[in-house]
Amino acid sequence: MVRSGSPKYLWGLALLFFGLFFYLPLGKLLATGVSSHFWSEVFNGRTLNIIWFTVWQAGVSALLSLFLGIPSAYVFYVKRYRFQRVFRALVSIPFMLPSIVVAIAFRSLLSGVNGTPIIILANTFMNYSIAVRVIGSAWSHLDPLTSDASELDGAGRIRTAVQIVLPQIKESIASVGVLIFLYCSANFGIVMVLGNVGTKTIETEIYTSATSFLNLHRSASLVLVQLAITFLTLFISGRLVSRSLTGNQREKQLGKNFDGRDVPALFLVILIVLILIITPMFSLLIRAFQSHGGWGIANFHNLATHGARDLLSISVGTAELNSLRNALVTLIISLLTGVLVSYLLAYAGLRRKMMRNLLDAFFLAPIGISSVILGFGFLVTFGDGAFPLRSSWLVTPIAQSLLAIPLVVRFVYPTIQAIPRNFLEMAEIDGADRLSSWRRVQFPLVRESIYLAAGYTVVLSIGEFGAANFLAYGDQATLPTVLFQLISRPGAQNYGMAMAASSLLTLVSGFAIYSFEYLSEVKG
Amino acid sequence: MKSSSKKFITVSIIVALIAVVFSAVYFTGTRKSKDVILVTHDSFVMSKELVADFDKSTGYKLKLIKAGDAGSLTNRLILTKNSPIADAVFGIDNTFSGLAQSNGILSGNLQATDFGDVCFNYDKKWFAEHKVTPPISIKELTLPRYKDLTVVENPNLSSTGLSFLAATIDELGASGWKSYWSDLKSNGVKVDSGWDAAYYTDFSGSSGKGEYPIVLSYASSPADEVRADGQSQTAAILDGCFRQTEYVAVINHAKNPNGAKALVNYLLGSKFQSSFPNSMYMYPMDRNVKIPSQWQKFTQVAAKTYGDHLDFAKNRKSWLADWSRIFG
Repeated sequence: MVRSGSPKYLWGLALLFFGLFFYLPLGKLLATGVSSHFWSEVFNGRTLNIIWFTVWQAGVSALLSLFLGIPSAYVFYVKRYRFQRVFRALVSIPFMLPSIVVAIAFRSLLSGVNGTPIIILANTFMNYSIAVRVIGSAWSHLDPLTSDASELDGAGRIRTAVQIVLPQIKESIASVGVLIFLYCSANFGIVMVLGNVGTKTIETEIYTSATSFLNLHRSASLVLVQLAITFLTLFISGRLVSRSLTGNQREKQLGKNFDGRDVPALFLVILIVLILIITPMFSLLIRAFQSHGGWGIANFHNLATHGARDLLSISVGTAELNSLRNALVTLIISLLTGVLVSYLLAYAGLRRKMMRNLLDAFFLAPIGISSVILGFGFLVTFGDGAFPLRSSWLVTPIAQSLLAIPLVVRFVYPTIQAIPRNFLEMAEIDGADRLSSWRRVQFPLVRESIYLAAGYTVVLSIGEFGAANFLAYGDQATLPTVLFQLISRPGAQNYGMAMAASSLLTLVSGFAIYSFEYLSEVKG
Repeated sequence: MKSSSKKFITVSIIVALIAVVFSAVYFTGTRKSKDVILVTHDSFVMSKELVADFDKSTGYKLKLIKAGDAGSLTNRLILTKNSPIADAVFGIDNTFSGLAQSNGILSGNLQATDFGDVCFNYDKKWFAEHKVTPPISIKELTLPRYKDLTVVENPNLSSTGLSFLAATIDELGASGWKSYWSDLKSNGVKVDSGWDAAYYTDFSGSSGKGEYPIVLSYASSPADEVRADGQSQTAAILDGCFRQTEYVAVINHAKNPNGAKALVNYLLGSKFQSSFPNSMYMYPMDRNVKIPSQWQKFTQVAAKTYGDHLDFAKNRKSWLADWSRIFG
């Protein structure tokens, strides 16, 4: 018999952490939002326009990502060819990039052209890769017999795809579409950089209402609207999402080589990748090495300065150090808390299903909260009063941890759950105590997922903009907030610095993902 | 993969991260008792020599934080008033002073440091090349011959923009200002988020070489656009101007109130006052300070200014709501 349940103090620790840093700020926002102002703030033409714009730009972006993602999934996952992994890695870069860097890359590509079309393009750039990945994985697990049979009957490849394949993977397509929709409805950095004066989404309005107009009631009312949209979307599509993310049971099929009938698809995908993926990144890189006097590394030299007319409070280099420090602290906090929560949930030993669902929901709820909402909640909760945490630099990494912990839990929790119970029983029979059973039996089995979670946490923290924009300024500014200042204040020097710093940030994110994926693949 | 090389990689990653944290802590440091922090708007400039002079003469160590334009600056201080981000503030102007005072973010009074007239500028070169007569009043900007030529700042986000909005309300009256702005809009006026963007990117007469030959800026800006021939490329339109005054103050609950007071005195002193024209293109409040000769030649103060006596704290919200309805 395995010991069920965990020490009470561990539960207390986890509940306290979430209660203080998540439910307290959230409660404060809800209390501010649910007021007599709510109806008048939300139900007027201006606000409804903002809500409508948020929804439709996210919807169009999601549809476009799916539309481009389906043929690409076929080429990248169903077919088999040399250097396939390299190409897959290439198209998955955009999703790892900080949104502010994506926005800057598109600014570099189409400087002067702002507004809705370019916002949708930037959204699609970021989310195309996740569409390809999810759809491709589902498609590659399909039994090829039915499509082979349909082709033998003379159906063309497109017809086979539309009539035979797509119906079988429609759940994956729908679920990833919903996910992309949610990401795009919270694309704060992209709209802040690429939007025109009148371009407003719910998130940018939360930010400007609070910081430019001190209208906290309006911001909090809009938080409620944003939460309602997230909740409704997840509720409507709930079953689809949970099913496809639990992974595919069927075995992955071996891909086939290209043949003559793949030419249109191949041509289309090469075009998509060249225009949508390669061009913006390439343009960013080129601009980074372009400055007044032609080509060179002047922009990189300037990173040690405070920008033209001393715009920044600290140099970009110092901001980068702040970001790295925050990332490390975020990593420590979210790994400790995330693994603890996963462990507690996996061994809760709760007989009653309702109680378990409740606890799952309690710890996974932050996944539905955007960084802007969290940053705003921290600002109004920890600005003063009982916990004047805001004046400490720790406020940013703690906020970022709240965003990262659900990610860690989603990686680690299933792997802990999957450990066969009899492993633990054997360890217990051998006289292992709880700690050494964790160290010797459980940890080696979940190590891989922890490394992966660590990689994503670092990337999340380094690129996080919405919360940092509320919380980190002055000498605590982070790389994304400094980048935003540079790109929104014109002048050739600032512009060049933004390009150079974005390129560096891209490299750092790439390195983080690469090293942690490497660690997770290498099994001790 | 051998386990030894895996260990090596793990260890080197950990070592790299620890090194990063130590250097970060070293560079950013924590606050020391002699530190005095000044928060300003983005356009504030204080030369390294003046910072060093302040440190040397007072024994404090000055640190600067920039917090957006005058509006974001004031709001940021209000949102964090019980654990303030700095000891002293420079750059709250007469459009935001009421808001700052009514929210109790200041300890003691606002003290005026400098002033300037917010007026339109035009690019003389552009008008000469296109053989168009430059405008002499703000009302003319709605004429067809100036269509698509003007760029202003968004009054929601920029104190320069708000200044001009107030000037139009004062000069054109409650009945006239809205139709004036509608006319401006249909005459193709461009609205930028802030002065930097309007002046340095969109204005044709500055280093940005933009596409708009008329910009909302300051009466003193032409002194900064003097070319090789000794003439300024730009000139100010001395109608519909707003006299903007900027202030410095000690922040309530400052961690270093004495340092903040020393800093306020320094900013009011003659050394710093004489840096205003060349670094920030504003007139120093101290009348004894000598104005550069360049200025006497290329700038004038407006004979009459509008809007500075209006009650901003009371009306700002409704003005901006009305304006946003026009530009929605």
